[in-house]
Amino acid sequence: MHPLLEVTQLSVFYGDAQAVWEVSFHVEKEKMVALVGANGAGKTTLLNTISAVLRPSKGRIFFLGEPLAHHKPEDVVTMGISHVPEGRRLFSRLTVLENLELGAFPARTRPFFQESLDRAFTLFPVLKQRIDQQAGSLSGGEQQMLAIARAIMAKPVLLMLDEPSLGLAPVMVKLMFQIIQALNKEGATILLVEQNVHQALEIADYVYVLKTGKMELEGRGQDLIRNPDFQRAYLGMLG
Amino acid sequence: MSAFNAFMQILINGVLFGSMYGVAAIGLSLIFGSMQIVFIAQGAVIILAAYFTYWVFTLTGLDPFFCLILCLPVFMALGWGLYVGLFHKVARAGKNPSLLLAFGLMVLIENLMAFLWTPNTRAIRTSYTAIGLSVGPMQISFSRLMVFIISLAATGLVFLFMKKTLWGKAVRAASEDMGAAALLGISPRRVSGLTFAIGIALAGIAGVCTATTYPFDPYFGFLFSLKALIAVAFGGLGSVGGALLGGILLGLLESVGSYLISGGWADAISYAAFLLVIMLRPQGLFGQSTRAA
Repeated sequence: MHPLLEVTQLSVFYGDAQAVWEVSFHVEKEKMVALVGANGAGKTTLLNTISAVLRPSKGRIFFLGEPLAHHKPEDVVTMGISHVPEGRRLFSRLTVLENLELGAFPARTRPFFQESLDRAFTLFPVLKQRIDQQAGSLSGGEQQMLAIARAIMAKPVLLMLDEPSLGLAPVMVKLMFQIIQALNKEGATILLVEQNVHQALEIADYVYVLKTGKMELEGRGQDLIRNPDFQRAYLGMLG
Repeated sequence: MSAFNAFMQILINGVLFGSMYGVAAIGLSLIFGSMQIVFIAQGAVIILAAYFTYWVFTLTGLDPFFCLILCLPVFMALGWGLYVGLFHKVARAGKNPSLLLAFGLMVLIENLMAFLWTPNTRAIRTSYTAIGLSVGPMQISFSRLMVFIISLAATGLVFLFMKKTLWGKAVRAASEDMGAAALLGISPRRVSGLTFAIGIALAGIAGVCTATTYPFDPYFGFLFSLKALIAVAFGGLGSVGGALLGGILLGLLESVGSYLISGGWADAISYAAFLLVIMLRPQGLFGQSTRAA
């Protein structure tokens, strides 16, 4: 049995600068896996490579046992990987509803449009109240909700979230992680990129720690919390 | 004719003519949205469509307005082909190569037209060219009224397409953030090809309208591109209705300017207004202030 997503020996360059060095990891079906690490660790680069926004110079990515080699971003989402990018990237001049409609752009998802829309509004009731507002007029938290809702409109098999807590008020961060956890419990497989290490350890089944483009540590959340090296580096504890 | 009536006549002419600028401006604004460049060859394509209309009319006797039905699919296909065949590859290299390519395309089309059909001025004379409708003391040329109606209809159709259809929404989304659109499954190649097809089809409509109302020559197009650009600046980028209003405003400005001062001043006035708008209200007269253009 293959894992849902398998990344092997991946190296990625920006021009001459190498951002990711032979990184391997995998995501099992219905699990939540977190990639954590400081700024510049290569987390976003990994997500962008899986989405085919960037091309790896070495290594391979397998999704459902098949290699993602010559795909374009628009094919990857059709195959079942939805990516909520860094900074949310909503269409600010389009309404909430229009953003959600475009979330269901791939032809295979359109028959389920109403069902997906109802699900999005059940998860994020506030979006229903804002349905005809321009996305750019929403608060930061609402925008993050809309970004996640837009991604799940495509009925993804794997949902990749890039820093969903970034720039949000603490109470909103907590709510966001509750929602992500709920999505995971409903059966969504989630690959989460986070700088908020505490929260990520708490909710993820398995955690990979990246440092300047290399895989440094990996393990279950509760094991990493007890690892003295990890404590020193990421949890601000003096060992 | 009293001075008041004469002035009303000028206003009507300005509105009717300006609607044509508006159609050209919508095309320019759409293409800017997808490629982030001013498609400087828009005017040359308009004149190409005017020649297309001229030759269809001269060789087959087909009514020039009826020619629109022929012209639309031809120019949509031309737009799609230009994007998929030329601009898609160049766009990856950045904006400047695309801009240069558009400039080269303009020179090519202009000189090809001059070579094939001589640089002489052409005009279409139909049985109804001289017919005017009397509204009180004012005269409205039938051809120009048709142009106005066609322009409004074209604007309305584009507006509905952008607001009501999934592909229309994809075009708007892609003009904001092509990368984010691709992550949702919207193919940049297809959505830009579609945008280009609509933009060039609008140039086709403006060309048919030009051919039926004004004499033209192969080099008339560059001025048209400039006027469309001014109309876009008036209306604010990315707004279909704004581009039409911008065109009408420009038409008014020109016809009032040439009436009150002299014909030679009309262009100077419109360029001066263009500069003023760019300096004082870069988001356009009808644009939202939140829009960064």
